Amino acid sequence: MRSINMAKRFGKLLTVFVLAVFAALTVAPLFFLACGSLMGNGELNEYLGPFLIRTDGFAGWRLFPLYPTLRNAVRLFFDSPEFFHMFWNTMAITGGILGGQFLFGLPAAWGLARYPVPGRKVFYMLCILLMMLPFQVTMLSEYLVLDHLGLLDSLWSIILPGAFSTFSVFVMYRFFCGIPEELLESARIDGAGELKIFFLIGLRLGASGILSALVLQFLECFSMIEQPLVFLQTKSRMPLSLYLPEVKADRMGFALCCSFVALLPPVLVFGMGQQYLEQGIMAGAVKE
Amino acid sequence: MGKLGKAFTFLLAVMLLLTAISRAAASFTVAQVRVEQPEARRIVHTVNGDGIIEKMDERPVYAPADVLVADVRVKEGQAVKKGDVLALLDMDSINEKINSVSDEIEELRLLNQAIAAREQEDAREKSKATGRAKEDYDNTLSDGKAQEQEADERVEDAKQKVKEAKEQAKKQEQEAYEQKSEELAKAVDAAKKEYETVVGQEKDALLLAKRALEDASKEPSESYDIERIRLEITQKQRRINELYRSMWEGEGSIASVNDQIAALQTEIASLQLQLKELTDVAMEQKKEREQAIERAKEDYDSTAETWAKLVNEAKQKWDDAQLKLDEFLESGEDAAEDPAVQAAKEALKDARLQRQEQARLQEEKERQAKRAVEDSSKTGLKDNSAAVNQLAIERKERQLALLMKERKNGGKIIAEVDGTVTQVQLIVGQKSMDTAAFLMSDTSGGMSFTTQISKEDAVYVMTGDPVTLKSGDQVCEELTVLSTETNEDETVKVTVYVPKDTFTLGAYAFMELAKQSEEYGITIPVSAVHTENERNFVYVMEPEETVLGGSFVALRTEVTVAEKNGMYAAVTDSSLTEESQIIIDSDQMISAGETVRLQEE
Repeated sequence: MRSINMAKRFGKLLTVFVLAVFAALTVAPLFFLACGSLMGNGELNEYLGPFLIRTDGFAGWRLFPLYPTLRNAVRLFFDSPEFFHMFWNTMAITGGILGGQFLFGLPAAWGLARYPVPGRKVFYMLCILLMMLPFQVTMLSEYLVLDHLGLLDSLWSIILPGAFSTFSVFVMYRFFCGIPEELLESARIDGAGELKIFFLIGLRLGASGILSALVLQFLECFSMIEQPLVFLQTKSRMPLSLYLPEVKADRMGFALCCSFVALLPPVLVFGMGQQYLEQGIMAGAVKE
Repeated sequence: MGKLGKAFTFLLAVMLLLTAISRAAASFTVAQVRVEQPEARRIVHTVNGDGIIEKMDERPVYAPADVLVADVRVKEGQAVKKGDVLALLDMDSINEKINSVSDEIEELRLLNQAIAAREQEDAREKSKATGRAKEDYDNTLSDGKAQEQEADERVEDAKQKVKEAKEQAKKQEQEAYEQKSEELAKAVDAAKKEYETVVGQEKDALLLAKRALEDASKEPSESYDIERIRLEITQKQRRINELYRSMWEGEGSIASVNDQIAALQTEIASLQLQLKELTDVAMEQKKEREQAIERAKEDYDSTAETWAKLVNEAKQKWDDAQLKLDEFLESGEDAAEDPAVQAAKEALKDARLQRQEQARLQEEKERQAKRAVEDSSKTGLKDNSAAVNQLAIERKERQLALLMKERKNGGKIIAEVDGTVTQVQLIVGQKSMDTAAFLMSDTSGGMSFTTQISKEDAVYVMTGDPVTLKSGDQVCEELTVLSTETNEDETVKVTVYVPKDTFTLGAYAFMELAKQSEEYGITIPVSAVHTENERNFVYVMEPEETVLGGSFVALRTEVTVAEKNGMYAAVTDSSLTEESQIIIDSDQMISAGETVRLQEE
């Protein structure tokens, strides 16, 4: 008995150890980002020189900065209006897309889930198809459409296609399907209209689904790269995701600092919507 | 959700605040500039000078030189009024002269261009020649080094050989050395012994001689015979005396006493004879002894001398032997050298000589190569014919201007003031001279103003140019430059004619002369032109699209300044257009590519 216990305990320890190693590997980049943003350019060039400016030797890294400095942060906060300009561009794009999805995707999902209109299945399949197509496939056609509408090189060229993305419709659809039909029936019998049912019952019971869809969309919108790169020309309309690649090798510390600050909003949003996110991902994963 | 939501809201608020702050900060750090567009202008050069208003007696009237005189209308002593025609020049001749002077100017210009081209070519050739000479010099150096090394090696070899030969010879030498030193030591010993014997003998001889001298000088003891005889004589004398007394006292018989006295006297006489004989002998002996002493002394002296000589000789011999030994010991191996070593040394000497000779030759060669480099890199006498030509061009241009003025006047030479002609230099039918055409005494009471200006300024001043004079509150415009004259110290004396009743005599006045250049298409304020490494450039503000929207950057544009005064610079040979926004002023230092913004009014 005792040896079996010992073996079990050892197995457990081994598992924890292996997992800890992988966890550390996963977290390492984040850690490097955090301490790299506190390093001076000289120190960073020393570590990353072989990679950035092709000096001899190998790139290395130090766990903690040798000479911690807030210079990068000060420069970012007080001397880089571009960063904030682009941050607000990103926020505008993200807000526009999320608002659009709330306005159009939510009713679409509710309708699909609750009303047996003819062609519903076909429409649903179409949604899934659109969701599955990667951006690169629809890029050219989207470009042509936006060109015809005269929306190219404006924020709307990013917001509109995003607002009508079918992914959130799909996620919310799964949640709305989970509301029992009997509940709605009894509401109808009690005299509630369809709008009342949607606002009082649908929105409340499907709240977790809606939130998870919005959190997922937020995370995607915040790091959008291809769409702005293709549809935007004017520099002043570029989002933050295009600012970071502009930072050159000689300002590596500054770049790391920018990345660190740009990481904050998604982390907070993720923290807020974590519980709904899990449900949402589950909803997407489990088939009826 | 609640806490994180608050954090998110807080983050957004902070971002908003920082947006405002960074915008405000950026507006402070961006340089504010003032811009101006280039304009077409003439560059005005003003020449200033101050001086005193003086009295003027005679003033010259100039005519262009080398032009045919058609008519002279005044005579010496004739009074003329301002505006009267003094002489008439031939128009054809003027035109011809204008053409020829223009041609000459053109020719000189072409010549200057050719000179510039040739100088460039020469410079290229020179640099090539210098390069070659340098190469030769380097070759010589490296050759010399190689040879030097070889010679050094030879010397080293010879040294080695000498060393070896020496080592070999050393053994033999060692033996020879020991033998020799032994021999020498023996010789020294022998000499010493000889010396010692000589010294010993000397001592003996000297002793003998000394003894002989002592012996000779010893007093002989025989002299008491004389004393005895003297004593006997004295006794006998006493006896006679006693006999005489006894005779006197009557004792004995006188006869016997007389007999006795006579006997005694005879005895005394014989004794006296004996004494004399003895004394003579003693004297003789004394003389002999003295002579003997003299001789012994002589003998001693000569012996001492002889022996001293001998001793000295022996000493000398000993010393010589000792010296030889010492020399031999001191000179060591060099004293007797092996022929092999001698030969090796000879070889070494030769090698050294060769090396020296070679070094000398090399030095000579290097010096020559170096001289060649120096000669080839010598810039030579700067050919200043271009500058001379330039001066000639300027002179001819002035001449041309005078001719043009004369053509405009229709060939008339006009009196500028009232006065009397005092001298006429023009002759009808002949060409005008390079001097003043007329001299006029000024009866109008005209005065002159004289000032000194720098050579640089003098370029803009020409006879006949309009000038403004100021003295106190008085201003007099449209006065003319009478003459310019270059002084020895390279300043230029400018004389201006001052009419009567304008200024008071002796007043201090200030001259202003403005000369306009030809019109330049693009002129910019001088403050906009920056210089770095002797190159002029300007910053041009151009729009640029940035993340924050349209903004401006300062771009650097190289320019060539053709002419400038204190205010404006005429720019040629640049990409500036009349629309270029040239930065003329900035509140911060700016560098190429920097973001700038317009200064708010």
